[in-house]
Amino acid sequence: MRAEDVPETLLNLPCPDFGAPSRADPGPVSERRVAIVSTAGLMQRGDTPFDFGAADYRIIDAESDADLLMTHVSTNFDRTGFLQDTEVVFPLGGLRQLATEGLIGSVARFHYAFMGATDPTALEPAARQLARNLQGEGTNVVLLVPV
Amino acid sequence: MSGLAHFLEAEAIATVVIGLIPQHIAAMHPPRALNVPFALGRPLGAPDDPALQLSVLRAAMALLDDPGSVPIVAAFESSDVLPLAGNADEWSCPVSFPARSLGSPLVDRVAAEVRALMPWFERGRQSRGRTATGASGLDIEATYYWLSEFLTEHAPTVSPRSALPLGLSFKLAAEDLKAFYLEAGSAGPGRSSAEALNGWFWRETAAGELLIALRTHLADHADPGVRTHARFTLVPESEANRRRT
Repeated sequence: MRAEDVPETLLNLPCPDFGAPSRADPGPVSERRVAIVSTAGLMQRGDTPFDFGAADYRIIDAESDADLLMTHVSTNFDRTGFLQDTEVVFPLGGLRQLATEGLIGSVARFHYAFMGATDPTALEPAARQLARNLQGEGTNVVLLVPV
Repeated sequence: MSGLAHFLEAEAIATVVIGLIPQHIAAMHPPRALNVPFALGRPLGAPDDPALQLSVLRAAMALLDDPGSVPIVAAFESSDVLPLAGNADEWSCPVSFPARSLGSPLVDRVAAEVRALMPWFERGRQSRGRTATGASGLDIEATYYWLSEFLTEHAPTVSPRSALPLGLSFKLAAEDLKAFYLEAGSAGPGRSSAEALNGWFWRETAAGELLIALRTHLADHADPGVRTHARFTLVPESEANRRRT
């Protein structure tokens, strides 16, 4: 959003202090394997929906044909874009295009989704676990996409 | 989102955040962030606009090559006009709903709307190759009947998906009903805008009327999950505020 358009309710949300940011080396372009981590409460059909306070994540298999569903608890954002085109929230096809253009090395098979209305500090244990999953899959870059 | 960036980067995973709320990015300073001017719910810009979506992705990935010290924050400048409002003249509901019968039960009016919209819902599903409805595990007819029962003295006490809490099933059913309408509404001729679709759903359909009625009726429901979802996640704040003024 443009800064001047952000509603007061969002400006009043607490923003935890995470300290000085670390800097991981993304490596050379040709070796960048990119996964999407969404906070849109996404899941593939048949998986378990998110509820209030969910601090875990769902795995999205890019090789599966299962529909992508959104089970974020909030109703205060637009969902019509996602209903029409998943790329507006989950840009898997876009990343694949970047890979063909050589702007990244490859696209991961597995992608991940959290439910963004949860206190961000509560996500740390799952995020640390997720990092190990990503490393095991050879993924070294993450595109974090909010909703 | 910014917290996830800190946690992953500390574990040697390089990250780029797409930022929808610049004030939050400034306060939580993830290592690399691309602030975008788009509405909540549309981090890549606009549906069915791959050129714009790709330009966002290219700008985000370019931050990985920035040699500066972190945090690195850039702004994506878009000349595209991307208001949720769009052009109201370009869209109208693809069907004319049956005229309201005085005293007709709300659930019957929803049923009539769903029957009228079904061909457009199917058309949208075929053209997109998918639907985002169905998280509740109910088909659309069961969805509105089940929701309507919460307005009666025989309100449901168990979830249709036994593994899910009652409150979550209630929320999912409400979102399924809304998604059915929005998918059907956006499948017709004319370019739909988010504002037109949402305004139509909340102000012109019996389904919107049903969800608004549930919000009020269940505000003190015995089940805390149902009560909380009814109060806070059923009707958008903007719509609730509009009705208060």
